[in-house]
Amino acid sequence: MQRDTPVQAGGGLRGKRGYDGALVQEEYVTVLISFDIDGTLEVGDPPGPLTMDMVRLVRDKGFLIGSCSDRTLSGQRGIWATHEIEVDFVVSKHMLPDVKAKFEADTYVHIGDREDLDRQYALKAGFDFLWPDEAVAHDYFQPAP
Amino acid sequence: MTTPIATDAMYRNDEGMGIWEHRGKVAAVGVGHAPTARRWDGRPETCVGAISIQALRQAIADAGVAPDQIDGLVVVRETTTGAFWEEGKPLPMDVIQSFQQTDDPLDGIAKLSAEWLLANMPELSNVKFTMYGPGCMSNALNVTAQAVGDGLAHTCLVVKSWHNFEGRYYQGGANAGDALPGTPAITQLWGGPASYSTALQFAEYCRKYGKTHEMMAPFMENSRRNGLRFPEGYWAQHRPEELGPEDYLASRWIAKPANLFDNDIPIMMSGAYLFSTAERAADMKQKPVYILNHASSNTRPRSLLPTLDEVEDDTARTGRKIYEGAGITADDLSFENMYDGFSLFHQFHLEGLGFRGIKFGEALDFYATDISIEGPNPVSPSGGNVGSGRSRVWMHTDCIQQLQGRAGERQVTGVTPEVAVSGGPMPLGGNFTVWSASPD
Repeated sequence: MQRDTPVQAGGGLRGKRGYDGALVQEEYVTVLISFDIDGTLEVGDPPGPLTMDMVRLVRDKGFLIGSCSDRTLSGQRGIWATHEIEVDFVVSKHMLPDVKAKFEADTYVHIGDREDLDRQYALKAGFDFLWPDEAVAHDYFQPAP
Repeated sequence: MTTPIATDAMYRNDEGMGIWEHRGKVAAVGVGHAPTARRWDGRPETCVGAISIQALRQAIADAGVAPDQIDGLVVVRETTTGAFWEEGKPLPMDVIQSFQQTDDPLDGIAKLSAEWLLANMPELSNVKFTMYGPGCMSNALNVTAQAVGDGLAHTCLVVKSWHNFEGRYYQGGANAGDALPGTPAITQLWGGPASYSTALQFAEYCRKYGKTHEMMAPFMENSRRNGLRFPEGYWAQHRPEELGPEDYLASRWIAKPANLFDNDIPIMMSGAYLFSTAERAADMKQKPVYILNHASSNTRPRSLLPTLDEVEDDTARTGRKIYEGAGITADDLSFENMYDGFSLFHQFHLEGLGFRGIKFGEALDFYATDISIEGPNPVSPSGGNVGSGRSRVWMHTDCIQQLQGRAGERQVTGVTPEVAVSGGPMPLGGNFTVWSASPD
């Protein structure tokens, strides 16, 4: 299922530091995460290390989320619907620039398992990139304190 | 015994050969398919040799024939076009030792010999004739039909299998080297993706006839729909996903104007058939499907890649050969079931046949009409590789099952299934079989 509009455009608090490095305030930042499916998510073929509960976790944190895969758009929607996860976008592999144009965020991240189809596309589109194993260990996927 | 590769004498390459001398005297009866998988999981019971045995045993059982009554075996030795055992990668000894071996340790894992099959199927104790049909089931079917017709075997199995390993397709084998001899140095090592020659032909087709890639969408949707009704196929077994126009047109380019879904998905699969003489087939378990003709194209392009003009000339020539040897016309075809893996050349085959009277440049408009299995003009009722994954086998199984009336949810209902043709792979250089519900 796909959210018509972001239910909450946010991602978490980020510390803002003054010229001397001291923490002077915290600001709300928006994080958008694009998930590859095969080799990245547990439901992929082959299965990846990111569980659907991890996806739910970042969704509940208010991240903008969606999938960017070579799977059909209807197939991607079917996966999200099966797992009752509302997402903000589903796109084909080459459409990360469209995602960036459509959604305003402070940080754009794509997680995938292929150098050519994930990392290169992501960096070219101005996304940060995480390998699935890196993502699992990232703060994004840790429960909020 | 050492298995020979079929010689030119087994094929009907030329126009003017007249009616096939064995027309209606050879029949397909049994069909067998092993379960598909996206890639090999490394287990002995799922290696390409094991699934081949599984498919062959199914075909034997399906025909209701005692294994010791089988005297022929035709095999496609090659089990991939782009997934090769990496040089230096340790051999899977546990798998190798699970079977009777030949001299080649990768036999049954990355290739398939008739000797390996016979060593591991002791029930085939009376096989006296073996032969290789190179490359495709389409080729092997021609060889099998001719062999049974010529009396080289009276009850003959034919099998084509595919393996797929981890890693990227077409990146290993000779392509991983620094040099290749001859033309492949240009077409493979320094060339584009495998579909690029078809993409070039399709681009010229669109320019010549004023068509667009978007016009392929109804064919793709129909093919996947049919494939999802093919329980032996990959998409039906593993990922029952439709392929609607939005899905198809949103996909990325592989070799523009060929996108991802215009390229078939490599899989593990095996398909096998049991052929026999018409007389013997009459007493078997399934309804015989008679072979009216087989025809081949051995045309070579003038240069590195076939031009659209060469493609159209040759598919028209192939159509004439198919009809001449079978003693039929395009009007006799109940449906159309030519190869589609790459989807962008399917219309070349279709137009060459003149199916339902369509001419060159008209197929994409034809796709916009009712081409479903329920309609009067079924196109690719098998769903082909688009519908079930890379095998080059589905269209043959479908022809047999349609004419036997056991295609299940895929059974054509808008026409009476009486005569069909299937074959491929490429528009230049294919092999084709004409099937009939009756020998006459």
